[in-house]
Amino acid sequence: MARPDAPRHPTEQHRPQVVLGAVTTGLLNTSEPLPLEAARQALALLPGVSADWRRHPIEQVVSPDLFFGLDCKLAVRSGAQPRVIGTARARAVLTAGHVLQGSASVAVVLDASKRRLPWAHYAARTGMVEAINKADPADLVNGFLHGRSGSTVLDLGKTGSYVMSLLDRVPQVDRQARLKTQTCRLLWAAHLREDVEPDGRVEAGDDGVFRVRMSTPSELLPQFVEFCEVLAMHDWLLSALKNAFDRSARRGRRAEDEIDPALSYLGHIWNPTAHLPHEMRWLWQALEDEAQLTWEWQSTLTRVRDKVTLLTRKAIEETLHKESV
Amino acid sequence: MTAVTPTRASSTPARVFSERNQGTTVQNLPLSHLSIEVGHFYMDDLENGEAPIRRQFERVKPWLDAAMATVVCGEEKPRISTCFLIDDYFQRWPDASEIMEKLLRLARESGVAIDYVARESSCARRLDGFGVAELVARRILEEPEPENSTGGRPPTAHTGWLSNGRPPREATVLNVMEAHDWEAASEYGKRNHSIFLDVELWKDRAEPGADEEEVLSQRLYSCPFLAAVWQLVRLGLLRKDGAPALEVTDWDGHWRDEWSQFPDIVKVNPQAKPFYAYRSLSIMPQHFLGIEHAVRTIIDHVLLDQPVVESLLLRAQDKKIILPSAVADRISHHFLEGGQ
Repeated sequence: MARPDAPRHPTEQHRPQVVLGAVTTGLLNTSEPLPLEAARQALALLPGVSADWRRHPIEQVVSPDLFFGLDCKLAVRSGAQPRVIGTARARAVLTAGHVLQGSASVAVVLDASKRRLPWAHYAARTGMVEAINKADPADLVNGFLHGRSGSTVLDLGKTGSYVMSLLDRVPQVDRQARLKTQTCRLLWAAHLREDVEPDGRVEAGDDGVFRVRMSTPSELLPQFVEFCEVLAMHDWLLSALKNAFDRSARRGRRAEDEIDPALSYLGHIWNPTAHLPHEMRWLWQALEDEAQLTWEWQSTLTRVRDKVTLLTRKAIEETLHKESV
Repeated sequence: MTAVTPTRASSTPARVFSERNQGTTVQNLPLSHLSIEVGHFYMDDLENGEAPIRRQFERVKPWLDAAMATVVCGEEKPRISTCFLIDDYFQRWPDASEIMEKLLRLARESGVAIDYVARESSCARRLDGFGVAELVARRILEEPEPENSTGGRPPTAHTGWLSNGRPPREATVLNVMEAHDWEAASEYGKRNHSIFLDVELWKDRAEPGADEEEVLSQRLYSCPFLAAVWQLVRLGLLRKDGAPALEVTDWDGHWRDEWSQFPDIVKVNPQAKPFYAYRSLSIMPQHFLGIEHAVRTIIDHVLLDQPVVESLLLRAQDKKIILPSAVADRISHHFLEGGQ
C-alpha cells in the first residue's frame, strides 16, 4: 500500500514537473535486528493499514505513507524563491530488521495558482505542492540539490528524520543498539519529462551527501525513488563499517568493541540489487562501473575481517606465551 | 567530487521472480450514487412524543424526492439509499426496541423509507471494540502555517482541537499605559476576509501519565468529530484493512433493548441499494448548521489513504460519474427551515 505510485492521471495543467526527495538512513536503535513480524507491527504507523513487506532475499518492511503540511520556499540558483503550498509524503523503510530509512518526497506543480487556496484543495492532492510564483524546473532541481538551506526553505531531510524518530517510541524497539553510527542523507530530484529516455546522474559531494538527479517519464518515478533508497542504504552501510573500522584503530579503544557489533549488525546486509527495481538496473550497473561501491565494500569488509584474524592470532600467541612463561 | 553519467541499456531480460506482500488490499465496495440521511434528532427528541418526529419526516419528504430526482449517476440507472443516524453516544436509555419501532413507523407513514440505521457510538468505537474514530484522528493534518512550514513539523493534532487558521493573539501588556496589543484571527485559506473556526475534536478524560490505551478508552469525541467519521464511512472512504471501517449487518427480525448490542449499521430494508455511495446528502434541521460547518473543516483536514481514494476515483471514471477530488465537495446538505 505504501509503495509510491506515479502521479495519477492529473489534468494537464496540474501535472507535476519536478519531484524532490530526501532519504535519511540510520540504524534502528535495537540491540538485535527486529524479526519480520515485529518489524511489520512497528512500521504499521497508521491504524487501519498494514505495512508492505518482502522476505527475500533480505527482509524489508515499508510503512504506510504519512503526510506533512508545507508552506515554504524552494531554493533556486537565481531569482526569487518560489513559495509552495501542499503536503510532503514520507514513509519509513526497514531493511534486515536494522537499517532504518525515512524517505520523503514532494511533487511540485508549477504555475498552479496565484494565492494560497482553501486547504481542501491541497488535502485532495497528497504528496504534492503547488508553486505560487513562476519557476524553471531545471533551476528547482539545482536549487534543491545544491542550494543553501535556510529556515524558510523546504527541508525534506527533517521530514525523513521525524518519520525515523517515530520508531524510537514503539514497544518492539529496545533502544539498546551496540553500534555507534551516524545518519546519512541522500538528496534526489527528478525532472519529469514524458518524451525522454530516462537519464540519471549521481554525485558524491565533499560534504558526504550523495545527490541524484534524473530526467524520467513519470511512470518510472516510483522505481527511481526505490533506486535512491537502495543507494542511500548502501552509502550508509559503507560509512558505518568504515567508521567502525577507523574507531577500532584509535588509541584507548578495544578494537573488538567496535568491530564485533559492526560485523554482526552490518556484515551480511550488502546486496544492492536485492530490492532494486528491474527498470533501474541499468543505472545501478553504470554507477558500479564507475564508482565501484561494491568493490569498496568488499575491500573494507576484508580489512575488518583481516583485523579480526590478526587480533585472534595475537590473542592466541599471548595466551601461549603466558603458558610458556 | 565524483560524477557518473550512464546511458540507458537498450534491453533488459524478463523477470522470473517477484515478491510483493501488500500489507493491505483495498476492497471494492458495492456503491450507490447517493446516500441520503433523512433527518436527525437528539436522543431527547426521540424519547419524547411522536408529533415532532412525524413533523420532521414530513418536512424531509419533498427534499428527499427532489434529491432522488436529481442524482448524479453518469450513464447508469440511479442507485440511492437512505440512512438514519441514532444519537446514542452522549446519552441513552435501554429502550432501543421501542424507539426503533416508533422511528421506522413514523418515517414510513410520512413517506420516508429508511434503508439503513446506524449508531453514533459506533463511529467512536465499533461493537467489537475497534476504535473507528482513531482512524480519522490519526489522519488529521493540521493546516501548515503560511510561509513557515518547511516539512519538519509533526503532522497530527495532539491537543484535541483543529482550526482553519491562526487564532487571535493578545500580547501581555507590560505597561498599562501602552495601547492594547491585539492581533486578529486569520483564516489561512481566506479570500479577503477570515472566518476563523476552532473545533474541539475530543476531550481527554484520563489522568495525566496514563498509557495510550487508557487515554483512548476515556476519550470523549465531539459531535462534529463523530459526524465527520459518519460522512467518511458513508462515502466508503474509511477503511480498516481495506474493508469498510463500519460494516452493514442484515436485520435479524427483532430489536434488542440495549443500544450497546445494536449492530453498527443495520439494513432494515432488504431491497435497499448499497449503503456506501459516491456522494452523500444530509437533510436535517437548521440548528445543525454549525456542527456541519465543523464537520466540513474536519474533513478538509483528513488525509485519506491514497489507494482507497484512488479505487473510488477509478470506479467513478469507469462509470462516467463525476466525482470531485475534494472529499468535502462530495457531501451536501439541505437544512430544514427553523421555527417549526
